[in-house]
Amino acid sequence: MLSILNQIFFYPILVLSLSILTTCFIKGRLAVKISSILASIACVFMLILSINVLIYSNTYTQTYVLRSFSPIVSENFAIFRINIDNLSGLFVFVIGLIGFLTSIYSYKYMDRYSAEHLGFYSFNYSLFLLSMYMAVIVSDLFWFIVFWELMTLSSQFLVSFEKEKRKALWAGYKYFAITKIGSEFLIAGTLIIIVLFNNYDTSYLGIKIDSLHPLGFLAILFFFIGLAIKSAITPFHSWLPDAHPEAPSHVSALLSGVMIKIPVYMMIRLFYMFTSPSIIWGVIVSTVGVITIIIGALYGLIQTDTKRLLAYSSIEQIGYIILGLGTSIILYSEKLYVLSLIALFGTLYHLINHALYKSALFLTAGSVVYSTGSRDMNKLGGLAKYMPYTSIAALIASLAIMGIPPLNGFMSKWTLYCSFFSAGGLPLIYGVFALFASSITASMFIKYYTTVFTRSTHRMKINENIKEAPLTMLIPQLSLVLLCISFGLLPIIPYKIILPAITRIEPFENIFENTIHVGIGFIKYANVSMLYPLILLLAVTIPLLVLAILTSSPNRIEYDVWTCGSRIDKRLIHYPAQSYFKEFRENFTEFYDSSSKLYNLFVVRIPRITQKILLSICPKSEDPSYMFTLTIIVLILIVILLRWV
Amino acid sequence: MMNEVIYLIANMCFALIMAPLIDGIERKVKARIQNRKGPSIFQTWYDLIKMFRKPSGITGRPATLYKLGPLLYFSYLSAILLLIPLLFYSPLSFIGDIILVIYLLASSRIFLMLGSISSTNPYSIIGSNREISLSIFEELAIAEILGIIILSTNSLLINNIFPAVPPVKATLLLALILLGIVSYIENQRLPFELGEAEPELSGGSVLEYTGKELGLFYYSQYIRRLIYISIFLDTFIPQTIWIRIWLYPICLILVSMLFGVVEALMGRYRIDHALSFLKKTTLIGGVLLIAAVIGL
Repeated sequence: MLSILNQIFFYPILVLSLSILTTCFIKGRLAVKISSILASIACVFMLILSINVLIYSNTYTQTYVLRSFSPIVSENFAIFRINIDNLSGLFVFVIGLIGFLTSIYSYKYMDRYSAEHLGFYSFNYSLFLLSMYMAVIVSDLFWFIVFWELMTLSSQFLVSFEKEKRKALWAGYKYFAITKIGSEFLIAGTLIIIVLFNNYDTSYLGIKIDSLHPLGFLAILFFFIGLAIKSAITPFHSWLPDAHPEAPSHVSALLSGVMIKIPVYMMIRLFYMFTSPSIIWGVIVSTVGVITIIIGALYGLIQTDTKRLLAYSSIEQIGYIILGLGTSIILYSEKLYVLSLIALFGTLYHLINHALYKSALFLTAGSVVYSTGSRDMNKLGGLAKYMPYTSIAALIASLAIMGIPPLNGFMSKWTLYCSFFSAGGLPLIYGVFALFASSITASMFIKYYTTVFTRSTHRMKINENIKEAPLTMLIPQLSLVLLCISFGLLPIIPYKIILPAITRIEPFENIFENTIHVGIGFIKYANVSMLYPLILLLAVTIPLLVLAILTSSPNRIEYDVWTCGSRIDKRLIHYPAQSYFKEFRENFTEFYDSSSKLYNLFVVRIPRITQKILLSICPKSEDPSYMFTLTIIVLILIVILLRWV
Repeated sequence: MMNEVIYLIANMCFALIMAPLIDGIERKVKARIQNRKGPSIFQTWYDLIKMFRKPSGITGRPATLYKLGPLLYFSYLSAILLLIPLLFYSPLSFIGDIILVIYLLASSRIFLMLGSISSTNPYSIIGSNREISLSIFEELAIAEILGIIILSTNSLLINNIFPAVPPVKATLLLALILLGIVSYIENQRLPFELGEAEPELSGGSVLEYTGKELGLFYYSQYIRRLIYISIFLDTFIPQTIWIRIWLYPICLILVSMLFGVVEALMGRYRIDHALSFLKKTTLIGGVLLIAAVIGL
């Protein structure tokens, strides 16, 4: 038994590789079944591993020496290091949990696609899970980038696996092109780090970037930009709202719930372990975070496509996570360790919570697509009658993302706000904006839930054929929702999971035990003491509910919707999703106009100009003397750069 | 311990009984302004009791959420009564309770909106949309005021935040005035009472509610008014029990009478006017917040 646990990190790799190999040869629906079963088994292994790491605080370290590719390449690049510490364990937990449920979901959901490309899909699905898993367990920058690229590649194929659909292809291409730039930045940053600060060593252990050194600053900047593009932080977010709706829903859940969190994992390593937290980076990260929140919220509000709305809300929620991280860095560099600890706890808590409710929401949107074939919120409506369980799951997940106490979204946001508001200064102003944005989130999800599930149904013609989603699709949704409730009512669970991950982070390890205890005490005390009023609240609610049920059932009157006493065609009683919050939008026209202008400038105009310049240069490449001069200039530049270094 | 339980129960009972009575007093005052005799101050209670006795109606649709709306609205609001100082200080105070109060206030409203949109009546949906549009701005103003208050008191505990002790900074004073305005707006009184807007939307967000649900809605609405006025009053009424116990009810009645008089003199805003008014308020709040952060 012990030997199994010792090698357990290896089993997910084994099972997923098996799935990848089999789906190379098997095509069609069978491939989906195989990949979903094998992937869920692998995810169970991941969960066992993460629990083993987080609760029993075992760490796994393994080093494989690969044969050196060639004598020129340094030995260091040929070593494959795996190190699963508590931070990795936390992310393995998220991948395992969400991956397990989405794999079960995919078993039936993929039936709605034609069998043609399913083999291709299954191959990429397993590869995607594997590369995410590997990206968080390796402790080697070189291999991190390898798996990072594999993650991008496989998820891009998942977005555009329906090759006939032009829209899907375009979304996949856009996603790939934008994130590719991100990985170039990542590689540039990594090169500087390896060459300058780590003595040609790629392992995480020795990296100590000097953030005051100009090139060190550049390295962190490049690294951060690379990570930011992948986690869809403004201004690099534009790939996400296109990519998520086109992917199958459970893949969207994985993309949104898990994949855009992997950069956050690396950011924590970057800002806490590779460098010592500095205030400048704290300010930059939190500013970017708050802008992301506002953009995501205000654009999410005006969407009329279910999955697009959810995608924008993912941008917003990742903003909260980044803002929390930034605030934590600021507080740490100001030596307010207790508050910094609370902020980081809130960040990771929110990260897990977002993974839970956003996956649940994407899965419910997927069930709606499965049953009705539509994502258009203007046309959908009244599905609560036909799909009761899906509607309950969507309602609770929506309430959780709105931050209704006592669900999990509130608990993590509350922790974050406590740190923002106690910090004063910049974090406080950002906290005010975040509070504002969370009211927009609430409106967004009132819109999402009511347009899809409760509005009048007369516009939908296909209503009678709508059935509740099959059981294998319901169970993942409902279990995610149950987790949402339990993570809110019993904050001790996330506390147990997250705290080991934080306190083992290097800088926090070195702080006085006392300080740490105050922070931990606060989190524990606050999370428990918050429950008193909520218990009292329940004490008020439950008698009321009982009273309501008891008194109203015998003599209730049923009547139709009141339409000013006149007989109106029922199809006219319809309030389209695009009219929601029109008044609010009209008050924010300046915002929407200016951001569309910015979009035009940066996304349409500047690329066009670059294209023109490049096209005018291209013919010059046939002129040898011109090219020769250019080569010499580049050579001189390189020499200067090398001298400077 | 015993004392604290008594305070808690006293707070709760006071608020639950007084909320409709305050409305009764207001009605009397309004009637006097319009040269009428007006009903007795218990009239609001009589109305509520009558509504609670009636059977509740239901539109012929799956209506669980529609029925739960007012119930959850009421229970979330009554949970706030446990947390804020009313007749006595609140014994259930803990770090960050102010954020919980703001979230409970917002959530109560969300439940009402979900309920009224679920009634599928277009008028209700329009009314709810208006309410939500207003609430987004109101939330921003509240967040700004909260930021200023927390900056000047350095605490996240309601019992430490309130009352504002002198020397009061200029920004804090202005923020408290802003809080007065916002609590008027959150009271959903006339220029801003756009969700229901009887003449235009004939009830708007509560159009489809009858009987018990309607009664519960009105009851919660009075409680909500009481909560907002109390939060405003907490900023200057001291927490010493023997001063508070007589000063608080008097101020409560006075402020609500003042609000009632203002309401009697006002007409309803159009939604875009109301929103632009709120936008200006939030802009002022933002300027104040930045000034407070700088240290004015």
